[in-house]
Amino acid sequence: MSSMRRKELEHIDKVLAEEKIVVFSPYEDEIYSEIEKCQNCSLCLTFCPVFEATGEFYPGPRGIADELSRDVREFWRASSIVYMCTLCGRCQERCPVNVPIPEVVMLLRSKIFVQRPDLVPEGLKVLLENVSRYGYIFEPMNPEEREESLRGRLERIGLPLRGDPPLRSGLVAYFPGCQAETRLLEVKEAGKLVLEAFDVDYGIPEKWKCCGLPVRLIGDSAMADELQRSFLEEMERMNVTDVVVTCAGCASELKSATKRLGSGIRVRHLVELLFEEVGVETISRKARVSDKVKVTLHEPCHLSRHIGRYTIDYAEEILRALPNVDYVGMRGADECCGAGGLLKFHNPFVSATIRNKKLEKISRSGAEVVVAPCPLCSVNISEGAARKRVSVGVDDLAVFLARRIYSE
Amino acid sequence: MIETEILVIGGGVAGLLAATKATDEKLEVTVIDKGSGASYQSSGVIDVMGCPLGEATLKPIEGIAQVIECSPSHPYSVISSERNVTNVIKDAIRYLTSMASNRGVEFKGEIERNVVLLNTIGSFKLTCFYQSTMDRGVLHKLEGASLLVTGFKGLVGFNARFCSSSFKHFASKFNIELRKTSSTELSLPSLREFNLTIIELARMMDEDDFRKDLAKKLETEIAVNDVSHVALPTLGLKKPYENMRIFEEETGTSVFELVSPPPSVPAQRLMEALEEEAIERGVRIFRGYKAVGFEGEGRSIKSVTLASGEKRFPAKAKAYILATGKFIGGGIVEERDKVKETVFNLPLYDEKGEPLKRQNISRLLAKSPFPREGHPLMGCGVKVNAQMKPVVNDEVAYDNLFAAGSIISGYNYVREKSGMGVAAVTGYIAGMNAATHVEGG
Repeated sequence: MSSMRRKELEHIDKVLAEEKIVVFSPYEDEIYSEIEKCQNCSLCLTFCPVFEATGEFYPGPRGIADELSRDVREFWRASSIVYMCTLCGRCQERCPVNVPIPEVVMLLRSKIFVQRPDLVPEGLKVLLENVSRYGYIFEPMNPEEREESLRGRLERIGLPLRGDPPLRSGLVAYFPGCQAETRLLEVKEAGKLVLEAFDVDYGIPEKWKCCGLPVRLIGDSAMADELQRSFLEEMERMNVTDVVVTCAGCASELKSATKRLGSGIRVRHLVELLFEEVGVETISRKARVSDKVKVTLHEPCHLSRHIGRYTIDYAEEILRALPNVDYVGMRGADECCGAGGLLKFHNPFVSATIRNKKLEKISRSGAEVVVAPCPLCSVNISEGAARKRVSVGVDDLAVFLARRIYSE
Repeated sequence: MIETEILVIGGGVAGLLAATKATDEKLEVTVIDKGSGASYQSSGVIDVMGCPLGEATLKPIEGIAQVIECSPSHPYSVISSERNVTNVIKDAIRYLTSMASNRGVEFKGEIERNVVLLNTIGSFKLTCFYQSTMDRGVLHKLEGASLLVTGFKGLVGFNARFCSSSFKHFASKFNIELRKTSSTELSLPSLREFNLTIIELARMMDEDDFRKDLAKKLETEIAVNDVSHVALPTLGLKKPYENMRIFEEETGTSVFELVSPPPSVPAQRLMEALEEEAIERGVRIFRGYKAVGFEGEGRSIKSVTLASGEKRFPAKAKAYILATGKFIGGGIVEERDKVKETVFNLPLYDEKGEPLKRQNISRLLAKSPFPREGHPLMGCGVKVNAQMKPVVNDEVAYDNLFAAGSIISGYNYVREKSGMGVAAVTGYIAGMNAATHVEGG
């Protein structure tokens, strides 16, 4: 580029900055052109869980297109819509012109975070502080409390407590995720036992941090990029080629991070690893015969729509392979549980309304236990079941599996 | 990974009908559905034949006869070489409406005549079978009526005042005298007064409080206006009949729902009903998968390649039904200005049954946006024989492949007003024939 041209561009940038005019990057421009395809048909509203829960007060995905059509530079006008979104992705699936609505929502959140931080819900800013301070999205318990809680939980479900095997060069890295590290502690242990039972040579990365998804959901894409870049670099340094994840959200986010950063590391959810590497026959053979139980599957949005529906088939096949597990289908299995998009952390009321609708569907399936291959969904659904006195067992898939596979 | 006896690609009206019909034969049927296609964008009524050869008719059977005589490549003509086409259309539509009725969506109408229904854009629609929420508003039943068109403040795409004057004009064209037409624009405290969509309104109608408020409002309006019929843009998504009954009881008038362009609430009611019923009868529906290719061996399809996320895997069946639709459904796409069929890469034919030589999109569009003869683009698709098997150069392309719905060429549903009729009858036949194919080994 000639120095004349460079000077010219610098001048243009300066004037734009003075005039407070925001320039789009090519990626942003591409996403904006996508939403311009919206035909205003409103089909998205029919499939939007937030719209179902709130009624006409939530203008839904269509509303985003509507707001942006007035003046794209005033993108922040859509802030109340995009922060209420659960990112479940049903709208995109149903959209006749296939507008990538979740991507639009993510982009708008990140732009709002930078240019109108005052519009970011307060409840989410707290979570962001957690990540800076502890590396996890939730505040961790102190070590003694954590161990006590963990022992209690494991005792209740009859699983042993093992140490974390350190990650050595070339092993499969097990990424437990914040929910399993700080809240639903047994998921991390169950994940370890399942991997161990199927002779997967794995280790847990020493200083892993949040996968970046919640950070990105809040809008801080710079921090999310940094978290993901440093994690993948560390994995590359350790000659890791495979990462296994028990959380649907972490799995989908890390998967897209590898794509974004051009990393060759293969990130898979536990169900993918089990189905592809271990196989249902082996799972079936290894599993203990336990009491007969009627089970249904909750399909986390981050597996079914963000990674792909095949993961759900994997999970279903794995459940069907277990002896004495009577698998029943559920209408609306792929609908959001209400915890998506961090909605639960700044609008618990709407989130709970969505959850209650999900619980109705779970009850209608007639299952005794609902299994979710995601600790975030599991916690959310079991909380709802307890509060609404719905008599259904809720298990994370890793825990459900470990209890049927682990023997002393 | 998916193994089934019959694989239906596409979950619109044609695909669901084909799948359910095949399930009746105790076969294992799987539907794969990428999302929502043109059926969700339809008006939720069943057109059989509205404008044969570009002229509107009130007699669909005569229209079908005309089409059979003049355009041999029309699906109705193709079917008529083996069957009595009127009877099979009747059977197919009876099958479709009974599926809907089992899930609480009732249809009225008869194949002997088309009716004129008023719509939310202030004009009329010619159709054959309609949901019973629209029954009181069938134009020939409105002779001498005093009609109140009820609008809502802020409702997008519906202007009650315009509709009311326009309806009077259109009614007189059909020799129907409306004694009086009037309009009102309601605003209710629980309703947003700007940028409100019909879907939002429909959802509100299903809520008891809102319904009560609305009934009261209507009563006041009627007292001022001397009204015998009330037209509403929608009667609700889940409880339209209950709503209609309550409004009628409260106001002492006849209440009906107008037909609407997308987003159409009746279409969503119909599609939800069909899906529920198909699942109830044993059809498996896999949503979110997209068929992107196939494996064939000679004249037999071995498997269809499905895409889910970044994975590709095969779905194996004994027979396949292609019901992917046209441009809205994604069965035909434009690629570098050329049109192509997306799953089996079948050659496309035009409305007259000739191979599509020039596939350039620009050449398949008429110059004016709303030409009387329609856009040639909407008449293209795959060519089928009377068994609904796609043919190439008059030879069956694959022995175990059938097609249904708007992926089929030879007719222009946009111009002709025959979309759902053709979808139903081709789906019905494809379902039966695929089942026979599987049972015959």
